[in-house]
Amino acid sequence: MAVEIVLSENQLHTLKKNSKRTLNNPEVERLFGELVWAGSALEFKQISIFLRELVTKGSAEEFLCQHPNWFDETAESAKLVDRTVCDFCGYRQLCERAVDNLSVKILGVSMSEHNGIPLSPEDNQSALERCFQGINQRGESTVIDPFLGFSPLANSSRFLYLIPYASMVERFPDMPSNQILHTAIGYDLKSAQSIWPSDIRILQLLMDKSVLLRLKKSLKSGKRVAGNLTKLDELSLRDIARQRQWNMGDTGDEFVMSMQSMFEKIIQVLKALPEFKPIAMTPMKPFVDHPFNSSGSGWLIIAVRILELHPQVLEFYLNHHPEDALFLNRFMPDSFERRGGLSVQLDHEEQRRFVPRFPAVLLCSEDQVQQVELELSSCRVVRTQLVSIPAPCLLIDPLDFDLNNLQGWNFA
Amino acid sequence: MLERLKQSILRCYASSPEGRAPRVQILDKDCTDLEPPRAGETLIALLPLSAATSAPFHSRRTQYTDPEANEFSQRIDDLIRDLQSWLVSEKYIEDDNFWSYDVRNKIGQIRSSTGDAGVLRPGNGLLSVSSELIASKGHQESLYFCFGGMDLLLAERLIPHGNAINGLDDFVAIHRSLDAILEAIVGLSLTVRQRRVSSMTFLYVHSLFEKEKAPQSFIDHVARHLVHEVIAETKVQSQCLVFGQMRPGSEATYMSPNVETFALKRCTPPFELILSSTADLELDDVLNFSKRLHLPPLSLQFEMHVSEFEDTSLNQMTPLFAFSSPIWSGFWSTSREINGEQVII
Repeated sequence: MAVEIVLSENQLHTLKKNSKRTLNNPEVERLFGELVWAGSALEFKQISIFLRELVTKGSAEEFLCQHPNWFDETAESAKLVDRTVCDFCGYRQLCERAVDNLSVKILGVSMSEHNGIPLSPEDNQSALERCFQGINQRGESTVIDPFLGFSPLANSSRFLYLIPYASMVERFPDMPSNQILHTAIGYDLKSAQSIWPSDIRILQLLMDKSVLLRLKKSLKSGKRVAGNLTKLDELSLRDIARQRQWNMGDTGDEFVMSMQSMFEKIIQVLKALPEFKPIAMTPMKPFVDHPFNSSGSGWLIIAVRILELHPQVLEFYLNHHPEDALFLNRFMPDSFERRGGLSVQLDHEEQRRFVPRFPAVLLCSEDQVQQVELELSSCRVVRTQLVSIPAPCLLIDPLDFDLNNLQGWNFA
Repeated sequence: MLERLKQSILRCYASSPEGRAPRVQILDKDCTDLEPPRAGETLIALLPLSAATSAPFHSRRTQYTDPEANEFSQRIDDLIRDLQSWLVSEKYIEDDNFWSYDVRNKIGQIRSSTGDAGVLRPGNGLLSVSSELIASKGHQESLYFCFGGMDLLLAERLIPHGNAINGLDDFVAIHRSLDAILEAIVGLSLTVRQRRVSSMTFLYVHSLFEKEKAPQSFIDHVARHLVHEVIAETKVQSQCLVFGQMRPGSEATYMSPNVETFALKRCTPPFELILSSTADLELDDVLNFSKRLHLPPLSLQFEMHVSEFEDTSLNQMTPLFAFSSPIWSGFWSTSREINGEQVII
């Protein structure tokens, strides 16, 4: 069962209610069908004009059509129409009048077996209503969409999800050294970690089999050119190693030498692959475009993120360079096994590998605030509502994702 | 404290030679809608710190309900529609749905990264201008609309030798069917060029001592810091501000865990710590400050700027602090997102 909340934030609040008419003309049905199958914009427009003419007969003439130009009419000759005409308008989705009677339906789901009982939206209806409460400049109470500016679907009818906070944390573990999550933009289901803007571009290349094959082939063969790392990259690499606690935080000379030698090789290989150049050349802002407080080159950031997002590359490298494996065997200790044991089974290459970081409203009581965080790997809290609720939970805008049917999402 | 800070901020602007009085509004923590700044206006909204738990909601909501921005969007939408009709009538495109989505997305990217003005700036991927020198006349310039790998000529103009032309002025459409489109482009360009920049700052404030105890000079000093270093910085921003007493030698936290300490989780570096004096203070008092105020655990690589207010009259009293920090508000510079969608430029 879902809770439905009607949003009042629209531009049609002055319209008369119950103004809808019954249409008995079978021609309407036929034209509506034709509209769906229109082969071109011009054909669509012509059918829309016919349909509108038909539906306008007997109109209650409540208001002027907002966009007469869409029907080849001038502003002066705009027709008086009613809500029924708007309901059957071919351009309904583009018209701002279509925001009338917006409502959101809230479904309860859970993301893990341990915290598996979904919260019932009905039992928490008053708490949920608080999420949509607004106070305007005159101090009047309004109903608003809390996701305005965070979701392209804000102020439109859609489904939202009520999810226990604990189940989100359990389902989406992250690298502990990802301290600043404000700027993360998504979550990689396969390597179980947050992703940043530059990662999306890297992942897109890694998901291309031919690029990955060429990367591995080049890593396997070819001689290393020593001194390929700039001084800045060397310093940056040490910073990253410290932040990530590589080699358990022990940065002895041998480890550093081996680490530098490996990255020299990887960067050399990357520079020979033209696909990576646009990413490397894009200015990157620390903690915004990637998770590091580093000002190293784009090549270094790509190399590090490839190993973190696709640890099989590191495994492959070490298999073919056993001399480095001696020192790098404790490199990235938790990257090979996905954190939390909740790995997803992505059987086919075309399956979705990453999801966006969903905007959420946090619902919790004042006593529970110390148990929760405002930034999570899979969602960001944009608004907090202090309400009486048995356990903290999140009202999530799924950004047009069907969370119930997302591949690899539930109990993978 | 909010009222005292408001008065200090207004005094600071009044004493500044070029300072135009801002609109300073004290808001209730539940307030969701406020009147956006008018053209050229500086708006400072003062809220209690507990409201910072919803800081991204406040800043984005204000931006997205700004009628000026919405009007601009409406005009851009009208322009896209006119262009679309023209492209269909000239048979450049058949299916306009994808085209429309593609162009809107591109405009969204440009607006988020370079602002409204960027949309009509030639060379941005949507419009381009080519210039050819004709020795006997001057510069012959052509305005193109670019999409899908095509450059469609919209208008031309001649800039005689020695003349200067602003923006897109004096372009003449190459065909009458393009008159309305060109007029809309030039009109929008003019609007953007003439628009005065407004700014909006959300200040989330908390005081750990009774407001009477705070010396006016210290509050004025903090207000000056805000006006000169924080408020003028960007178009929209959120900042938290906490006043308190340092309690030298003590290891106790400044406040027990509550909604305000929860709100402090929104703080992001660089942190700023302003001290009324350093008398009786040890280094540890400053080093442990973050922990005692329940700030997010941060490594040493992050900066904490510490400064002292030079007022000898305050040396006799327990040192006071004013802590300030930016709060993530989710705009392009720190999010690479538009309307919740990640965008690759």
